[in-house]
Amino acid sequence: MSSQPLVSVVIVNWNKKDDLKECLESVRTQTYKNIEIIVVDNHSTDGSIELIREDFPEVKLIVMPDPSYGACETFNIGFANATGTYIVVMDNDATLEERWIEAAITKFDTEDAKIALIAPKVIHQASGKLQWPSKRYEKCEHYGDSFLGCGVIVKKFVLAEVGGYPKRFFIYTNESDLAIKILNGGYKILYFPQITTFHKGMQEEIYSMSPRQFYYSFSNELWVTWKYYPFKKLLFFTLLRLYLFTKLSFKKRYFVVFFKSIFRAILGIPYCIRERAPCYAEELNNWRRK
Amino acid sequence: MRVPNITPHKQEMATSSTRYGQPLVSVVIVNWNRKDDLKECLESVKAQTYKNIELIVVDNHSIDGTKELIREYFPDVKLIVMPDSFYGACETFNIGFANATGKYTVVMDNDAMLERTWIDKNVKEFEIDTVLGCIAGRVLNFYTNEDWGFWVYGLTDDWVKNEFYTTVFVGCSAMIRTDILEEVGGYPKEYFLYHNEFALGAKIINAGYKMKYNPNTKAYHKVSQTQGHSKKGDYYSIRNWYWFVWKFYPLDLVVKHTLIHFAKTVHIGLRYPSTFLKAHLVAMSKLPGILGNRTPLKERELLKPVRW
Repeated sequence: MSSQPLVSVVIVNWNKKDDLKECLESVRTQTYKNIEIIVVDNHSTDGSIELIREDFPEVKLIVMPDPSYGACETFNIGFANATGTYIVVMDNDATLEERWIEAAITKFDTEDAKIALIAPKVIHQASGKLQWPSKRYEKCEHYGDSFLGCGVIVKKFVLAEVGGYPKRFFIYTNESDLAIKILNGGYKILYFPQITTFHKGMQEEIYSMSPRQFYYSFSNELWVTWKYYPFKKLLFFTLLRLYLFTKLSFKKRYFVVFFKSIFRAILGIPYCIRERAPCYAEELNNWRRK
Repeated sequence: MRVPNITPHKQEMATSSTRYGQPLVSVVIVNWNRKDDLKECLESVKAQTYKNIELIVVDNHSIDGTKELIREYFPDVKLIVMPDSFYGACETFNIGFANATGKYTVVMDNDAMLERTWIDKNVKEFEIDTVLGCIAGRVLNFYTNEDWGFWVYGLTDDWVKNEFYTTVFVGCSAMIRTDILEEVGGYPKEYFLYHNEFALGAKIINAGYKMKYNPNTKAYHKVSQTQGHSKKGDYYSIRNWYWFVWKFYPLDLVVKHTLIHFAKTVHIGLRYPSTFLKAHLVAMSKLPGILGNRTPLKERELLKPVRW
């Protein structure tokens, strides 16, 4: 046991007590034993806090004073309090297979030291449908430019080096931003199909968006493009995203949200210029691998 | 006066955490790059005669080794590390409050120290007085032993030795009932820092609880002897004082104290015109919102002549 490096599991929770319970149990029953669990609770009122204090006393619980904090910020607080060599970033509605952490650590040990993050296969729990990656890439191990943040493992020192999630994004597409920061730091992101995260998610199809998700995703994806895409690709990908989201907004009749989101994106232009760091990693070409 | 209602759940929680026949007391300390002061502060809490204490330190991403100090020498401290240093004192204190599980919460600065019986004496006061929401003790300048509370309670000497009810406390050491903190919502986040104690104090009084000055407990505050005015500090103290007066003072006093405050801070405006102007502009930008939901203090006699 002492030879096992400490793994910190960081979970963010907001009023999803029953999901959280399953999630924590799946972490508790891992074959890997040297684990520290950190739950950042966004001021839940459904008894999550009491559940953790009574049934999971080993969990390091951090309660936020009010629910106004975004997922990015609460995850960053969780990361800041992690003391492990590795951090498992997890959603409260996800569960891990029994040997998930063990297999991931073994993979880290045997593969290229430049690999900073391992993204597993993600399957929608109720329907068994594949959520990550797309069907075409499901079987083969490959280096990627993004991940689904509901259950991945990342090296703590890399996170500390590149910084965590972008606070300004609030929620959604934050994984893309972090992923590109990792690539910019000279590290790699490995898709590893041998381990699976089960995700309850909102819907089977992760891209079938609610208005709220549309609002944040649209402007956040534009920000990612403006922050990280080299000038050669910038215009093309900006137009591509505009086209895709316009199409979606017509399909779903999200016109008001569309304009609100565009407005948010424009307000963020100075922020994008300030933080601009073009990414030349070859993985970036492979946009969304559809 | 409203009788405070403790929900059955809270009561149960309070008793379940009782040890040595003592209710649990949470001590919340916020720290930013003041390792040595923090160490002395923590030691003064460790040396308390009261034993059922939970220590919470919220660290605003210090880079001076604070984290390592706490993990090594104070392993029983519940440490919460912030991901960057851009959080204000109000916000980090609120995070500390949200994680307090004790029946009472001690608000403490990292450059303050408590005398050994501080917590014990104040808990006893709370246990006999159920409408008590907050107790502020005597605060002495660590270096000179002068009373440091004058800037809150006025220049006259009579307050030093006497017990009295008040609406303000010195934020470097006070004890507040945790359920009330949750009810009124802690410090106002928008203040960032300075004068947040006044706003919290007023909220506690408005919620129907009392606040007491207890002359029998002493805390020591390391008041910097070379304390100069920083631009940032001036900015927050000018702006927040307006916000406090506009929100919590009875209407007739609002105008008077706004003018007094302006007159008192004009000298800062002469030194740092841009800071002064910015403070006023930002203060006024929130004026409509504040006037819209004013919660003036009803008990006028408690409003002491506040001086800063």
